[in-house]
This record gives sequence, structure tokens and C-alpha cells, in this order.
Amino acid sequence: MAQALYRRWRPQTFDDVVGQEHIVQTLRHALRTEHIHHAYLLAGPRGTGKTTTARLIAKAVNCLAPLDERPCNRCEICQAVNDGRLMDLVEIDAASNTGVDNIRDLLEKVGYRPAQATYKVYVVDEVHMLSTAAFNALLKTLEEPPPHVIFVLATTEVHKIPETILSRCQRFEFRRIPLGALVDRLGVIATAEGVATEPEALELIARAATGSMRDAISLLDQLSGGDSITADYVRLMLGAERREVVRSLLAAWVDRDLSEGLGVINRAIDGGADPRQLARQAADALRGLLLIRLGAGQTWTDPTTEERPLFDEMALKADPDRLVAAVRCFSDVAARQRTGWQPQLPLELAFVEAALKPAALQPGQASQSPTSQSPAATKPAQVSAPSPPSKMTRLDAAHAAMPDTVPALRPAGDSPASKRLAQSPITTAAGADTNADSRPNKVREAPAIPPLEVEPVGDPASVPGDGALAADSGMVDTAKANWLEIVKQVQPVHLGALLRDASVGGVDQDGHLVLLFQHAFHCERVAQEANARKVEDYLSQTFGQKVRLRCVMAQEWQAPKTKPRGTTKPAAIPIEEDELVRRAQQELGAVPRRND
Amino acid sequence: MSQWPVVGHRWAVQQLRHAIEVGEVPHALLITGPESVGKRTLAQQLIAAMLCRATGEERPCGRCPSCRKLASGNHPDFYGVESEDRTTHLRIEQIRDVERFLTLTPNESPCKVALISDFERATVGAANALLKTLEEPPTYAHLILLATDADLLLPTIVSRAQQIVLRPLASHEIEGALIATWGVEAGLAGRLARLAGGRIGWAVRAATGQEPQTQMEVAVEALASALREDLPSRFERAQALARDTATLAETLEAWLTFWRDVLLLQTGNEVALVNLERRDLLGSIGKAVDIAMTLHILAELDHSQDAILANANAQLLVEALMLELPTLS
Repeated sequence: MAQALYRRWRPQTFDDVVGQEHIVQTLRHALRTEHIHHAYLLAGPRGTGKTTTARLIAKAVNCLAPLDERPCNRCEICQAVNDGRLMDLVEIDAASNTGVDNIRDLLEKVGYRPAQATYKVYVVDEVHMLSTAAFNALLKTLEEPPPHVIFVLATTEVHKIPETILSRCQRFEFRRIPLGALVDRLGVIATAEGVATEPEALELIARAATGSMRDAISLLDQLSGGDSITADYVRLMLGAERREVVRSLLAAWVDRDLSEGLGVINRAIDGGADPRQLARQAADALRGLLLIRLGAGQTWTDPTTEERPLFDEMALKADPDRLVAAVRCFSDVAARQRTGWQPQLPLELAFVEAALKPAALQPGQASQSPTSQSPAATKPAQVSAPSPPSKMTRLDAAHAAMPDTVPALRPAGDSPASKRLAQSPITTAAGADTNADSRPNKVREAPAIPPLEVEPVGDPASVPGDGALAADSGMVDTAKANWLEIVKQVQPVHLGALLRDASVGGVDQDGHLVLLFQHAFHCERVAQEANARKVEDYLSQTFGQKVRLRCVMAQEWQAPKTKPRGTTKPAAIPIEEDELVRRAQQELGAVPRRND
Repeated sequence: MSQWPVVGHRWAVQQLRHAIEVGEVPHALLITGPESVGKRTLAQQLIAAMLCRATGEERPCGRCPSCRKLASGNHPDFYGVESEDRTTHLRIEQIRDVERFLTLTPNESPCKVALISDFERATVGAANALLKTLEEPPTYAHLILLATDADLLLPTIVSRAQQIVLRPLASHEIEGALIATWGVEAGLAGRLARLAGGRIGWAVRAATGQEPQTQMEVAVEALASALREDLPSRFERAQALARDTATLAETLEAWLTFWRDVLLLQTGNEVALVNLERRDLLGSIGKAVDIAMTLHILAELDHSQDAILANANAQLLVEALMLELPTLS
């Protein structure tokens, strides 16, 4: 059987090692000056040359040629290493021999002098899999081995190696191999193996290898079965799509043409494309558009010169917010591990969502148009379709479709919440001396937010002529309209969970942002010094102004006496008027039962 | 050249047959793809061809002693391991067994083949234990790994093997195969092919009665009636659905497919519809609900699937879904 290409083409001299100049140079220098350390640790991602370098070290230190030419690859030692029959090169698979007993075996033999060469070289590959005891058993010998012994440890996961081992070794960090170097090396191999290749095919292979030489050569090996390697064949194997397909998907996204976009996706999948691969390509291209849009187009080297004007044109039509949202949608799909029954569904969803998505949440703009903000991108009735096939307005459509289940879309007038507000004497007083017709709108300011989640509250910002708080009004509006979305971003997550219980009440006399809680537990926890500080910091950062918090229970909160405006929840609402109770009666057929 | 009995995946079959012909089968192969897409069938054909003693082009011949031994599970140069059931891991001892098997030279064939299935369920130790063998096995040894997704494996494993990615089949391929090979009548074949989502194995099992394909029908039926009901009856339905935890995942899957169809109709793209026989219902929903609502429900369904995998309370989950569904008058 023929050997795999990546084994046949394992570099045999330092000159052939690609993309690791910093390591090769250091090692060569050490060899020339005979400053050879007794323990090396080679770390880096897969396929970057660790095992290769380990064997090169074994050859070089034992080579019989003059210092400058080592390894010569001609002397008997070098030949023996190449054939894998040098007795003094001991290669150990630490992932299969993980135990302390395996290491003890090794240590027993360390004392014997080399049979043939000058040094005895122990290459311990995949060293991260050794058990703790095994590592510790190695420590003393690793620090002061007999003069004829060299240890070379190799691993992909250097963070699993104990500090005590690390400090005893000279450490070399291998880097991912750059695209250009991969392509060059692939070209050399393909020519030598007599395989005809297209330049674009080699580039596709190199790209798919993401910096790993073994991956690249392995792919080349796999593809070299036929007469020649064409770009189309590479794409077929990788499940990658042609650039035109990705481009037409992007064009459909720019024009918000849902039908066309879904058509492109389904045709591609039927033709054998991999949905996640396509998502990855789309995300890459969108990132490119973003770069162009932000004026850094030249750093995106991917497109050809013919494509560039097309991409430039697309970039002009998409604003950065939309681009960022779309990149996020597609890369979520690319990173997804669970594949469902319909493999293309996540991709389709991502596309539709990205195409419909309005500008991303930006607190600064909120005060201008609070109702157009979308607190949660996936909630219904917020994602307004700019060019939907459905001719209904979103409110009508949703209203007609779900009269029973989505109460948020009821006309404001008959809402129990507004009734409740109207009954509150404070509210009426406030309403009387201000713009009366702004109130119902404001109360229902965000049809997007179901009343079950956010307490309807009187809105200080709607009172005109409010000098002291005018500066804050935009912020309060935004905070209120987007509270659930804001809360989602709060770190740590459990703090966010506590905040979900709260709603924004307004601003008190001291200029503190008032949070209204339903439950005492949540209120107390958020009010704790450390937690409150975190929330304040986060809000300050979000709104670009200093925010101080005040946490109160919803039923205790009274708006400042000096400037009376809406209260959150009048203390005593007749139970029949409570929203929850009313819905339970209406929709679930509940019957009130009095306990007294 | 006769074809291997593998449905679809033409390029993969071609590549492997070519490798067999020129005698350059890679020492390490990783076949990935979703469940029931044909990974094992492909691997079995390949292994049979590698061990087959026939001299002509028709390998595997299915007649030589080697082929017969393999078919009866008695071939001394083949060794297969898999995780014991769907929930257990592939253990390091099993990998060591494979290594032990590969250390000894072949008994009767020119090569020895080990097939390791469900490799995505290998423990970290097991996967690492295979690394060195996978990179440089003995000259006569071949390792074939099966896994659902390369992203679930160690990158060091993936980089050592030649990867063959099997993707879901196009529905017309499945339809054709069902009719030609399994003799399924055309109408049923078409419907199964659409429902299968590219998984030939599922379609065949459903056609031969080993898989309750009616489950999907039942689920869609339940959804269709739920859309017309008020909350109390929906909650009763939810209770019934949640009691049957085994089929709940599949029910959600069917609902996802259904709402995807709604989305497709709303965006004016009818080609890829799955539930063709319910075109009218889909259409009326598509008109009554706006696209944002459809997206929202799809996202909720998707969430629920994750939640079920994370052991969420099934009844609460279905009830919450019922609250989200719009009502048709």
C-alpha cells in the first residue's frame, strides 16, 4: 500500500519546514554553537510540524556531518532515523501510555548509554495526556537527565501541561502556517507527484486546511485520485459553494428578496452543498462587506478584481448595523452543532431573519422613535417586514391572527391597564395639565412588549416642560422599551435573571433610575452593593451617561410628590380587574372563589 | 463497472472505487454525515471490497470465501467497535482492543481493517489513545471512523484522516431509489422522500414498516387541530403530548417542518414544500399570520428542541408553545 502523502512528504531537513522560521532559526543556531538543551517542549496546533521537528532534532544532534550541515540526511544515523530504525530515538505515544508505570519503565532505561549515536533522544508525543502521577514521576529526570539524554515533548494542548514541566523545558510555540506558504508547498508536492492542479483548487485546499499542513496535504492526497484537480472537484468534496452562489445569496439579502434567497439556498443544498459551510461562506463575505463599508476594504483580500466592484456596490446599500446583525445570524448557524431533520432550516431562518432585521438596537436613537425599536429580535410584531408578501400591516395581521393569545395588540383604549391608570387620581391629575392625547399612546408605547412582562407605568418622559429630567427622558424611554433586551446582556447571567423581574419605573428626585420589583427577594439581591454596582456600570456604559440605581418594590413606589405623574400599580385593584385574573376567567374559564 | 449498492454520494463512491482499483486506499478514513444517511453502508462496501479476493473489477464480488465470511461476521481481518447503545460512550478499552487487533499481522488477507462507529461519542481519553495509531499505523492496517460531524471530534483526529463528508440526499434521489430498489409505489415514495429530509435510511425503514412514519402525520394533524382550538382544549392536548416523551422530539421536528412550509409559502417559494398534501391549510395560515410571527414560532420550536435535550419539563414546554400558537378562526 502506498504511504499517505503527508507521511511521504514529512520534511527531512530544516529547509523543508514551512512557516516556522522563528523555531528553525533558533534551533539551527543552537546546533551550530552546540548549545543543546536537554529538554524541549514543542507546542502548537495540529499539522504545524511538531513531530517533524522532534525527529529533526534527533537527527541533527546525532548527525555525523560537520556542525553547519546538520542534519545531512546522508550519514547512516540520518538514514536510520528516516527509516524509523535508529535504536537511540525512542518515540513514545503518551496518549496510549498515560500511566505512571509507563514512565517508570522509561526512566529505568534512561541510564543506559546510547547504542549507536551520541545522544539518546526521547520523543514523547501527545504529552498532554499523561496522568498527573506520570508527569510528576518525570520531573526529576527532566530537570537533570544523564548527559547523553535529550527529551522532546510535543503537544497540541499546552495548557494541560503542569507548570513544573513547562519550567524545565525550552518551549517552542508553533504557529499556523500562512495561506501563501501552504499553497506554495502544495504546488511543489503536486508537481513532484505528477498531479495537474488548478491554482484556484490549491488555494481552496489551503483555505480549508486553516493553517495545518497535514490537513492540506491529506486533502491533496484524497483529491489526487483522478487525472487532475479542478476547483469544482474540490468544492464538491468540501461541500463549498461557488462564489457566484454566495454572491447571489448576498444580493438577495441586500434587496431583502426572501423568495430569491430561499431559492438560492435550496438549490445549493440540493446540489450537495453543506448548509454550515454555506453559512460560513456567507458570514465571511458579509464580514468583507462590513470591512468595505467601514472603509477597510483593502484588508479583505478574498475577492478577485472582477468581483470587487460588485461587492462595493452591495456594501453601499447595506448599513453597518444591518451587516453586523447579518454576520451574527449566519455565524450562529455556522457554529451550530445540532443538526435537525431539515438540515437547511437553520440557514433559511438565519437568512430570513437577517434580511428582515431592522437596524440593531442602539440606545442613542431610541428617543427619536421608541416604537420602532425591537427589544427582542425574534419576538413577533417587532420584526417589521420591509417588503413582505403579506399586504397587511403588522398590527392588523397579528391582531386578526391571534385575538386570544397575544393581548398586547389590543387597541389601547379598552386595555385594562389604561383603565387602571385612568382611575388613578395622580395620573389623571398629571394628564390634565399636560398633553392629554399623548398619554394613551405612551401607555401603549411598545405594542411589542406584552403587558404580562412589563408593568404598564405612567411615563415621566411624556410630560413636556419637564426641565430637570429632560436629559434623562430619552434614556428612560429606551430603557423601558428595551428592558428585557438590555437585561439579557447583563453579566453575570444570574444577575440578568434577577433583573428580569424588574421594570423601569422612572427617575426619582435624586436622579436615580428607579427599578420596580415584583418580589422582595429579587429586589434585595439586586440592591446589594456589589450587584448594584455591576448593573450601574453596565447601564452607564450602555447609555453613555452616569446611571445610579434605586431598587424598590413595585407596590411601594410612588412617583416623586413634587412632580406627580403615573404610579406603577395602585395598591388596591379589585381582583376582577387584574389582567391575569381577567384572562384566566375569559380564556381558561376560571371562576373566582372567595376565601373570606 | 457495476455500481455499489449505495444510494447517492456518487463522488464518494467513485473516489473509493478508484482507490480500490489502484490499490491506494488511505490508511485512515473518516466518514461523516447525519444519521441514516448511508455512512455504514458505504463503509461496509468499502471494507468488503478491500478484503475481497476476486481478481476482476467487480469487487466486492459477494461470492468468494472472504466476502462470505465478512457477511456472516466471521472475517478474521476485520474488527468493528461501536458504542454499546445510543447513550454510552466509546471507551478507551475498546480503542485499545482495536490497537491490539492491528498489531498482529493479517491472517489471510493482504490488509486488516478496523471500523470504529459513533466516534463522536468517544471519550477524550479514547480519542487521544487513537492518535498515534491513526497517524502511522502498521503498513497493512486500515482504520475507518464513522461520526456524525467532524466538528465534534478532536481536530487532531480529523487532520490525520482523509475525510469523506456525506451530505443529506436530494429528495428526488431518495424517491428514485425507493421506487427502483425497494419497490415502493410512486405516491408513497414521493411523500416519504420529502419527509425524510435527505436520510435514505429513515425513508427505507419507514417504507418497510420499521419506523412509524405515521408519527409525523399524527403530529401535523395535532398541530392543525390545535390551531383551531381555545386554550383549555389546547392545554389538554399539551398534557397528552407531553406524556409521551419518546415521541415528543419527533413531534416538534414535524411541527418545525410544518412551519417551515408556512414560511416558504409566505416568501413565495413553493418548490421545497414538505407537507404538500396540506397545501391549503398551509396557505390559509400563511395568509392569516404575518412573517414575523412565523419566524417567532420557528425560533420557539427550535428553542424547545434544545430545551428537551437539556431535560426541560415537557408539559410546561408544550403548554408554552400552545400559548404562542396563533388561533385560526
